[in-house]
This record gives sequence, C-alpha cells and structure tokens, in this order.
Amino acid sequence: MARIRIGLAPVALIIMLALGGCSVSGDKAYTFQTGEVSPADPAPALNLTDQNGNAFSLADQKGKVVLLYFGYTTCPDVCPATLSDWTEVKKHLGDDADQVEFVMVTVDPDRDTSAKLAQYLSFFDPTFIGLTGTQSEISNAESDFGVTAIRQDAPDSAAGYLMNHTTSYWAIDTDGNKRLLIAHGTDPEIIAEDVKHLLK
Amino acid sequence: MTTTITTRRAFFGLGGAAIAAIAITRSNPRTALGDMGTASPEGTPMAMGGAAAAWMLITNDGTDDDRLVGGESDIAKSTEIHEMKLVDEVMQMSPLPDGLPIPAGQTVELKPGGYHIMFLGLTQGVLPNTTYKLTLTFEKAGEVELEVPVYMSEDAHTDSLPDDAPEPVTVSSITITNYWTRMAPMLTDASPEASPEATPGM
Repeated sequence: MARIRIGLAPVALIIMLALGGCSVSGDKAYTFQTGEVSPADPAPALNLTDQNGNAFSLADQKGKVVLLYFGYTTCPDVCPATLSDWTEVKKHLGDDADQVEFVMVTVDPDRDTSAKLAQYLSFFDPTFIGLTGTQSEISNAESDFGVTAIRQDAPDSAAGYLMNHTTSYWAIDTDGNKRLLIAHGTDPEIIAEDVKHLLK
Repeated sequence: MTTTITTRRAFFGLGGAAIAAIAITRSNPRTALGDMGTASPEGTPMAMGGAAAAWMLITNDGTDDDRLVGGESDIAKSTEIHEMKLVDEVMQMSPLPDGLPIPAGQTVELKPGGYHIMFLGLTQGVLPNTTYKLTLTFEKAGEVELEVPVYMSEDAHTDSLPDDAPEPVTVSSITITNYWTRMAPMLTDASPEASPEATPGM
C-alpha cells in the first residue's frame, strides 16, 4: 500500500504577503522583489542532522540569512535547478555570502542518507547544508514550514516511489523570522539583491 | 495589495499567493519505459545512484503519428519517460506508462517543468562539458541515437542552448533538436568521510 505523507501546515497557508513590500529595517525605500512575508513571522524551531552527522539548529543561525528549501536527491529537475541557482545567488552575493546559509532539508529521509546528501550538495557547493532526520522529524518540519511532501508510489519505475513536493522556499532573516517566500525559477540576481537587503 | 515575484522562466509564473499545502491528487503510476530495474511494489529504497534528466525538441515531419516509447543511456541503469507538473507550487512527477505521443506535423517539447527523459541510478557523474550516449526508441521511426551535451544549469534552456548546441538528428520522420542535460552527481552509499570534498557548512 502506498504510504502517503501529507505535510499540512496549520498556519502556513495564510501568510499575508507584503503590501508594498517595504522593508521593515534597513533601507526603507527598498521593495523586495521576491515574496515578502508581512508581518515577519517567527520561524518555527528546526533541529535536524546535517550531512556530516552534526546537529543543526535554525535558532543557532541568528545573525545570518538562511535560505531553507525542501527537496530530495532523486529529483531530476526542480531540486538541482534550485541548487544550481543557489550557486549563482552565492556569486551575486559576493562577500555577503559568508552571512548566508543555504540549507536543503530532504523530504525523502528513507533514501537520502547523510552520505548521499553530502555527495549531492558538495557537487553544487561544499558549503551548502543538507539536513535529514527521522521520518517523524522531517514530517514535523514540513508541517511547521507549510511544505507539502507526498510520497507517490511508482512501482513500475526504477524509482520505486517519487516525492511530490513544494518548490518555493523560505528566506529566514537575521532575527529568525520567515521573511521571504521565493518562487522556483526566480532570477538568482534578484534573490541575491533581496537577501543583501535582509543583511542590512 | 500585491507582491511582485519575478520569475526567469515563464512557465513558472506565480500568483501572489503564499506557499500552499495542497491536497494532491495521486496519479496512477503504471509502467514506465526503458529498463525497469528492480523496483519493488512497496517502493523499498534501493541504491539509486542519483538522478538526472534530458530535455529536447522532437519534431514529427511525417503524416503518421509516432510515439516515444523508451530509451537507454550509458549514464544510468534506468531510462524512463516522465512528466513533471508544477501545480500551485508543488512539483508532481509521473512516469508515462504509454510513452509520449509525437503527433504528425508537430513538435513536442521536453523542457524543465514538463516532459523529460528521466535517468535513475546514475552509473557516473553527469559533468558539464561532457557528452553521453542516449538511444531513444520510437514506435515507428525506430531507434534514434544522440550524443547529449551536459551543461551547467544557468547556461541552457531547451529554447536557447549555448552556441555549441548539438546538431539536429533525423531518423525517418523524427527530428530531434536542442537536446541537453543538466549536470548531476552520482550518489553512493559511501560514508561522508569517503567524500573528502564534502566539507561541512558553517
């Protein structure tokens, strides 16, 4: 039987996007070009294990901007495109990249071992962080961050199963708030500009 | 009350809505094409080796409909034909059990966000500035052999490949142009320590 996981977010879905998108702090004149969450919404706790087996806590990242994406390594299209885009975002950020963490949480912890996440992420950039955990921990994270992830059995495909999942992702600001919702396919230069303003 | 979200790829247009937890209608995955591998009915995790995709334009200049029914490559254990859809920001991917129709007189686009040749169980890394062999099988035109170039993501789109885009290949009424693959890593079950280049993040 198919095992279906549905990451329903209790809250997430009623996020008010910005009126004019004016930044709360920093450059008052700046209008975010990705989707601004307004008012800024404190990010839920996120405690998982990184690709090197170390504990990762979102709370420890305050002072940095965190791009937080949910994907998986058997994904041929959207996930590698997002990670490739991130390599571009990082280039556009220049020196500011030190203040940004690029984090992918797997929605497929059964297959995405730490070893696979390490190989996958290092292919794009060795500083990118890949998080995994128990199925329960991952499901909770999906729910907390309003991410849909559904396992779809594909018994006659070599994949065995595929994951349908949300493709847009969060930028968490330096105070630990969900601040931007970034659509898949957004120009990396635009993402970098918005992230730079979150760092101001 | 608007939010501007600028997308680079037109087919990923987004309304102003927030992320949505969408109830997804499960598709009915049946037989995919090519080498089926050894998938179990329970979808038991198997050594996948990583995944990649190929995209292209397939034109049928004939007067009879044709159909892409399978493929084989030298980069992966399994070559299948899949469809991806993006519905309310959620990616849905499905194998195409009956292949992909290529109607007479039409061009079918395989491009990111839509149809793709899906490679499962990579047997080697798919690296930029390399090529690999892909044989596609059509119901009527038979086999079409391609030497597919691998590009960095940002360098290529099916509609506009870099200057060194490959030559069109024609077999019978089928012509394939703009074929390409995005780089992808081969994955193993080796421990992280076995991947010295995988250094910790901050």
